[in-house]
Amino acid sequence: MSFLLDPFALLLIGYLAAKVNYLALIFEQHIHRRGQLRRNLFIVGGVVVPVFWLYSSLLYLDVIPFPWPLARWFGGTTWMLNSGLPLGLIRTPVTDGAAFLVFASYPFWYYLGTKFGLTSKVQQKRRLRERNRILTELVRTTFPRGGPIPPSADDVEAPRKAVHLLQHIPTAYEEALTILLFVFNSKLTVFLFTRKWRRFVDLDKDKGSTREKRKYLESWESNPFLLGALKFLELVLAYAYYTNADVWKYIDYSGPSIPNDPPWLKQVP
Amino acid sequence: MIVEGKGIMHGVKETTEVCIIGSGAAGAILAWELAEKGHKVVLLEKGGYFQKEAFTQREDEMIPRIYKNAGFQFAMPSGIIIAQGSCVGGSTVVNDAVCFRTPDPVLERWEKEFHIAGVGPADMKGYFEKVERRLSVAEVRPDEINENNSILKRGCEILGWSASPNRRNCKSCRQCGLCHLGCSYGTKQSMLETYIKDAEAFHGDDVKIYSDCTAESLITSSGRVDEVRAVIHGSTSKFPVSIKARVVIVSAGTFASSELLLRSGLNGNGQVGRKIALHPSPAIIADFDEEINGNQGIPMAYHCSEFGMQKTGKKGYVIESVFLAPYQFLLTLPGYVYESKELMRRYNHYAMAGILLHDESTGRISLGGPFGTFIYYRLTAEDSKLMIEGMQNAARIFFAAGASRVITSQRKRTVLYGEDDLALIEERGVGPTDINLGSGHPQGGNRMGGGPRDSVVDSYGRFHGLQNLFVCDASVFPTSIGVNPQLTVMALAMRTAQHIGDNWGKIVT
Repeated sequence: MSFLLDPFALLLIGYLAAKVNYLALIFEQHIHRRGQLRRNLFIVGGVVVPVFWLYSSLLYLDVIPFPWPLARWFGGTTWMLNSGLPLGLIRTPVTDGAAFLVFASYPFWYYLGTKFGLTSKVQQKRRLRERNRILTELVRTTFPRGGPIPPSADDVEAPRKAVHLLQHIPTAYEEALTILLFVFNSKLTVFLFTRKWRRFVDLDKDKGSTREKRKYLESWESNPFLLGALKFLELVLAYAYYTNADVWKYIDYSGPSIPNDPPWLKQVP
Repeated sequence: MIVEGKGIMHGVKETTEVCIIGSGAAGAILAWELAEKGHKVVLLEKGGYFQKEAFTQREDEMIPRIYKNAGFQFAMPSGIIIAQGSCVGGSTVVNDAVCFRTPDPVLERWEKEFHIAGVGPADMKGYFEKVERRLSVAEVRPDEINENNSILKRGCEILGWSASPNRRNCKSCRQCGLCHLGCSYGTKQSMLETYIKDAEAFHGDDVKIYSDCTAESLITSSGRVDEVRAVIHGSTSKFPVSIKARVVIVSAGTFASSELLLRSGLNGNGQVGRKIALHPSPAIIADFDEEINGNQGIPMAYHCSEFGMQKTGKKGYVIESVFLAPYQFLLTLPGYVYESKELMRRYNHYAMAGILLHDESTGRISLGGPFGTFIYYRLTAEDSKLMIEGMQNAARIFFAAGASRVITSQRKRTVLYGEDDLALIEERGVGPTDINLGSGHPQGGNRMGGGPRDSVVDSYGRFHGLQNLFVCDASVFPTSIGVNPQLTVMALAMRTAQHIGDNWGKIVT
């Protein structure tokens, strides 16, 4: 802890506290508890900020060395003012005043962290847009034009249906699917399977080609740990494509017959 | 009286005699029976209220509306897809109307091994008869058996194996083949068309059903449940619901009932949520040169009982003909969905059967995990062996009936061209990552039994240690039953209702 590092540390703690709490409450699906989010963050802040105040004050006043109690690398005041850098700052009445102001700003840094953690509406919209883009690419890769059933995913508006389904499943499932799609799309995951530092959506450079993307999908299927996740996605993909009347005609599925009786009904007295 | 969430603009507070959570096979019958005995009933249903006109016969519209979690429910680590209804009428709205009585050896085992009083075949007979009368249960007529079902029949006849038409709760079936999307013609005698309709017609305000209403916790004090807290999804927002009742019955179905108890801090000595069975079912698809049109006609009209408990007296499996609309059908196919076009192109040439495994394997449900609850289930070595045997015998039936190839639901595409290939099924295996399995019959989790050490509820469904709390649905089964369970749930509901009615004074004081 030092005057340079404390604001960043508090920002990070606030961010993580907000993220963890948000996800925990969503996954709990416990409506009565949703109102607890702000209270939980207040409690975490109520513990973290005073701990920072106490520890950093003791350092600044040179009561303890840094990093007490683990070792004795720096004097407390020197560490607080210089953060281990060769700045050569020493304690003066001016630094005392500045220290007071920095200490007073600690709750603000924590609060700012929670604000970043609780994704803003703008960020949330951007996040959903990105998720829908990944899902759309996934549906397109799965159902290209041609083959035994000619229509492509786009021909039957399958991407739109996939997105629509996500809006109808419980929030916890939607959130889990969203996280899964981001992991699936991330450069790191793609690199682990394909040795290519690209996102899934950027895998094929030629427009219209899905070769690289399909190879990546196949590598997921051959991994037993990822198979469960893939099955989860399959439900969405199959729903998006095979519930379209334009697909049914290629498999001779008759579809709904209401309000009439089905034409094959045998009329038996 | 049915109160839909969309008509609610504020919180709800009710005081009643009986509060039932869940309106499926058990909840609806309990509501009707207790109302008949003169009690005021409030019934809470998480799902929406849909009448037959709302069933559009389209998977994309109906599955998100009437299936629990829009069909997203899995048991890990195998990813078994578990289908349950979530609407007024519960799973009876989405099932294929197949009615089996509980096999006698199962009831005898429950009585002897699990010390459940009054559940023997002779005790249950009257309840089965009463339910079957109301639901118009009858055997499928020969003229109602379509080609998909005839193939199973023909194959069994050639092999000399026992097979017979199913008994179904359907009156003047229109044979549209879409029972699992809700019956658009109102001919399936689900709870929606029978007990709930009866309760509305004959008991008016004495049976009040709140749809779109999720029970969240049971509030207990001094050995009793005082209040049920819920939320209702109203027109503009969610509103709190508080029901004070003298008797509370949890009939939310396997998983949801255990979940509610666990959320309320009632873990029944650590027994709640344990010993869950699924009847895990692999599908076998047979490709024929001629068109079968499996989706045209009653999906489940015939079964082979040669290896089931009815014939052998021991646990085994039933091979049931079944067919599904394209989306749900696809989920039974092997391989990843991007390989599906080639297989789906021959949709109309397929016959299909499911193997209903009488599982001894058990799983558990616990709170937490990314979906709020976590369902764990793993097949034992013995059940895996039985499942493989079942798949091989189903393939034999199809080859006897003239199939050109048989496709299993194993992940790695497994195509058999004759009996010589049957060993491939065993080779590919049925481990967690080897096969696509489905389940429509989750059972257990709140087992009935003689005492609190090894069960959650007593012989009549009363929660051990709480005077006025009952659990009644498939979650009270101490073992899986090896046949489609709706009739067993209904008969047990009749029995619990009678017990509550007969002992009302003792229960409420």
